[in-house]
Amino acid sequence: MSNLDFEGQLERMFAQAAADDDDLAFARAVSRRLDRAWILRWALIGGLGLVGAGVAAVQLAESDIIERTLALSDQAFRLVMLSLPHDLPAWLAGDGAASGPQTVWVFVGVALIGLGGAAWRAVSDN
Amino acid sequence: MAGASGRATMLSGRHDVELASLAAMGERAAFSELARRHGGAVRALLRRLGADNALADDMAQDAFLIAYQQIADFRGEGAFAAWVRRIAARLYLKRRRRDARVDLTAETPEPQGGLSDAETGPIGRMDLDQALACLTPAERLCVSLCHGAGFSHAELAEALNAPLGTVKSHVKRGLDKLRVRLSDLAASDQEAGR
Repeated sequence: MSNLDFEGQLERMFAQAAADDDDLAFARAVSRRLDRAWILRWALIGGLGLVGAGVAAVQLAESDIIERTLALSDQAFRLVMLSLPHDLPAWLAGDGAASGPQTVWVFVGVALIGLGGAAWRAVSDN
Repeated sequence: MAGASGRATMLSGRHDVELASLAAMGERAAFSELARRHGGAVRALLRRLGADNALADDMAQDAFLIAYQQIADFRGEGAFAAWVRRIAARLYLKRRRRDARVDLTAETPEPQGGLSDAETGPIGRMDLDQALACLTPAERLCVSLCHGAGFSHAELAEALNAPLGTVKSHVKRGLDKLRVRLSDLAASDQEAGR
């Protein structure tokens, strides 16, 4: 047998597993360790996200950004209402009690949730 | 449950390169199939390098975890099994260097933790382990890294921090001894089979 043949044979022998190796148990152990690494990573990311969200919430609460946003929203709503024609049907113009910036935001929120649900459905169906 | 077993059956028919691509896209079951296929060979290599069973198991798992992290780097140009064996061998060398156990001067074969009689399995299958047991630790390490993990002589010299000539002579002497020992074992197997 030539050196090259012998070395080829040797490499094939090295590629063989021992007869008693439990391959399935080994694969399970690798999967478990992968799962553990993922759980740790997601816990870390989730934890950091929660901390970040908490800090952001405190910062928002301490600033007057919410009041200013509400005031801007009120102004914008008043401008929109003033610019609407006076002969609009009541159901479209609102009856005064139900309409307001909050109502508009609720509609926008519901629409966004609906769109998100539809997008999620489309992605998971594919 | 039936879905999971069907998926496993489907994956078991796939080629390594396809499984590696699926794993790179986040398909963990595909990587698990790769670990099932090649875990035994990686553990066997680590034992042949000198690791005991527990260490070989741990390091083989570590090697597969590293392989999973770097799976996007595997382009299918070589065999997946050879790629993971190389990762495992590098891990083992790193560990030995940390433990200051790389000694290329020992001249007598040392007892192998991973090669007890109970583990040698059917005759023929473990001929290589029996033959490797006759080599000095340095010869076994050099031959196993060259022919089991695909290291070149130059890479081996660098990894072991040893002169290229020393590495080459260990590989040459180891191969000569293995050739003689393996033909002896083959001859005795033939006689036993008569």
